[in-house]
Amino acid sequence: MISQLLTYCTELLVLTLARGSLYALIAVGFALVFGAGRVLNLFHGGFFLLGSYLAFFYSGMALPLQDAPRMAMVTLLAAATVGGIGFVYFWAFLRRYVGRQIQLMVVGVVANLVTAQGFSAWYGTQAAYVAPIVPGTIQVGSAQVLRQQILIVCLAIVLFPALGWLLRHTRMGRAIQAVAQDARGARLVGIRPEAVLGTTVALAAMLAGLAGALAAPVLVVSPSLWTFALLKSFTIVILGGIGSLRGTLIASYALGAVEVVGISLVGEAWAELIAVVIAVVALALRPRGVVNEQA
Amino acid sequence: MSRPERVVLGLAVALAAVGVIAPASFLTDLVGAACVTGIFVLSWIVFCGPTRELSFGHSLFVGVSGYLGGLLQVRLAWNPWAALLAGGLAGAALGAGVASLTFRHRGLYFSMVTMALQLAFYRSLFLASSWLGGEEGIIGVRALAGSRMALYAISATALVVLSVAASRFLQSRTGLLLGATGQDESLARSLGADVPRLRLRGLALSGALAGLGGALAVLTQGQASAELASDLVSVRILLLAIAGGLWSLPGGLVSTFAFQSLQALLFGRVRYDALIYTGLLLGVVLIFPRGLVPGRPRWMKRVLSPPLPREGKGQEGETRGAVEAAAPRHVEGLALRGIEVRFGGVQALAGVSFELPRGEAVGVIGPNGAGKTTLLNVIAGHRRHDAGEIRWGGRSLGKLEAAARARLGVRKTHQQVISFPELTLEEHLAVARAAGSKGFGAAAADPELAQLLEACGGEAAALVPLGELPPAAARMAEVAMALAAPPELLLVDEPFAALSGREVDAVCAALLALQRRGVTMIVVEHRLHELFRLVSEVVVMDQGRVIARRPPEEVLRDPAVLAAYGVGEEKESA
Repeated sequence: MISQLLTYCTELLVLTLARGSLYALIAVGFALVFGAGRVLNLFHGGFFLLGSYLAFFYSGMALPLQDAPRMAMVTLLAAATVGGIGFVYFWAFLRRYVGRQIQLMVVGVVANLVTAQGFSAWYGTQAAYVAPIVPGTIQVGSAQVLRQQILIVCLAIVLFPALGWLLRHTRMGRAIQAVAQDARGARLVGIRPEAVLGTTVALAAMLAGLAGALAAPVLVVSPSLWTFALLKSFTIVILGGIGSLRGTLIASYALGAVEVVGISLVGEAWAELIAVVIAVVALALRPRGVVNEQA
Repeated sequence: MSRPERVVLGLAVALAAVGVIAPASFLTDLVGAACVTGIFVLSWIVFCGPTRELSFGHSLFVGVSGYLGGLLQVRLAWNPWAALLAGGLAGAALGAGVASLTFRHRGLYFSMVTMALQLAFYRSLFLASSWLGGEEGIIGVRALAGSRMALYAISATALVVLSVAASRFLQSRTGLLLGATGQDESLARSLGADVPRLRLRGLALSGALAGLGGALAVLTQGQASAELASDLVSVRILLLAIAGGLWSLPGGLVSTFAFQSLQALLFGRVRYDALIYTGLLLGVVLIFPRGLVPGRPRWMKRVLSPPLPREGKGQEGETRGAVEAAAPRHVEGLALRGIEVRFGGVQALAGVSFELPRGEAVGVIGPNGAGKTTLLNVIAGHRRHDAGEIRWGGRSLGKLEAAARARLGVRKTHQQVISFPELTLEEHLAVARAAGSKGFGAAAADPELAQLLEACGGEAAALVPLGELPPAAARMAEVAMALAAPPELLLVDEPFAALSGREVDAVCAALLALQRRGVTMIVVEHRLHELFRLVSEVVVMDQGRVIARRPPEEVLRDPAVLAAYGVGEEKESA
């Protein structure tokens, strides 16, 4: 009896970690950009989509590598390319509309639609298959977990402390935090908010691209995938507040937990919708963000 | 007939003409579909125009109502008209639900929440495909009518009728107040506007319109497809409304018909027609940020001085207001007991107590940082106090928020210059009257109001959005709003700051006129000469305490007062 309960709890925990780590990877960049410039970058979903499709595209290329190193290479290439796309996207489009919310959001959402329609014109709406870096599954209780998902969890455990260190201890990281707290004040001490925002968008794009490439073997890659990434980012930012890495991480795993429990109670179809409503209600009750720690 | 209504009349004639010229043709099908899109755009403008929110989730209302209408018809064999009605009601309920979920979310958060709800619903449609039919949706819905022509007539009529309803709403008291909250929410609240309730009404109407449109789409096409609830529809609604002019119903209708005919031209003739269509729409939004037909509802048709009969009524109403203010059930005035406010380690107010009988006017002076503005903010409810009690008319105000206190007659003007930048002076007065439930319409033309208007720059200035006038005009507008809808207790924070001679005279005259009407008043002001014309007593504050309370002629001889200002020996000032 106790061992059954223990297995069940382990199962929930592993599933939560698997979901939460992916969500955190998706949302952390979105939250950073939102914090750094109060910029709602709706094209973030497009970054994720690009990551998935580029992984698919690169995995068809001739590389002098095989199996795991090959797919790892493909993943990194995809992330780097999306980072570059984010950089160009910022300096070519986004920069013009900072401070003009309507245009900013409209450009972002239209960019998503164009990207999605572009991919469906290029490859069609059928699912694109991408090989995982580590194939196979492991059994946790009654649930099957892909090894790729475990890889994402391990990566998150390494990546987020490193990101936290970068934000606290490097010049760029401190500049990002300074702009997040007060753009005008940052300008007074010699930081160019625009340059910082540009770097943040590129970093966010890279992380989202990485998430997209890593998740490609786990999810069904189709042109509408950007809605998935954007929806998770929204829910996490609504739940976690802005401007703090810790808030984003806590919110990501909380969302993972809510969904895992929700799926076991009401099924896959409505768990997502219920998670969004819970996030919105939570923010209404705690207007400064549920886990906000900004002083 | 107002401009939007003339446009709607023109639209009705044009739609009828299309029906007569090409009955039951490809053209009527097309225009009928454009009419349904027009209803979606109306629904967006009704809420997002005045509030300046960007909803990315209107296809949620469209989709939920469309699916509900379709399900009710197919599964339960409802009459299509009943299903249409149910769709509208469901949209209204959903709108009210979203409004109550988002009662604290503004701006970016509102956009995020609406989009998140829409995306989540859209994704659920596919996951619950076993009974919602996935991509294909619900098919075999019985249409509202048998013939193409009848369906066209229904869509066209629906658009015309709902346009009139939307236009009426925007020009109503609620529409005006909603527009004011979109311009400056804190000013609207301090005038007594009940913002959550206004937003609830606005979004419920918006949801009802979108829901009717969604159900209409399903009950004319005979199918509820997933596309109806998609982000694409949300974005199109938003782009069409912004391209039209954000807050302008005629603009929304013009852009809908222009772009829907463009889409019909493109459809099937070029590759990527959807991309080109969306790209063109995006281009218009980026190149014309104010839309193709910029404009907004006009509430006022004339400048101040309304026609005579109304003037008589207005003044009668106001004298009654004054009598009410002095009525015996409210004999108690303002009573403060031991008010304390701390900002971190700073004690801004250290136990302030004083009483002010009804109809009296008292000035508050003191060095910078004495706590004068904090005191007014605490009384008006803009800031919470840490200890003590505030009573007005025998009622404890402590737990009420600013808007609720304003509705009880306690109102404050602001130290910093704030206004509703896109509204004219006259519209400001209308907002003040509407927010204070003093009726809706032009303010009474009294001489002090005329003097204030003159100081702002005359009748020409009254027609200009206040954001385009100098800051002094916004300051005078706050006093003018108090005249147009007199509160019972007016807290005036530095009314003369940055005003020059004639403007000061106009504000003084207005404040004195308010006193004659029985308004109780606390005035914080550094310009003592002008202050002493207004008040019978002066309260002196220093370091969060009241240190003296004397008539104006004696106050500057009080040694404690002089010490607070750092003047050792008696020395005349002012």
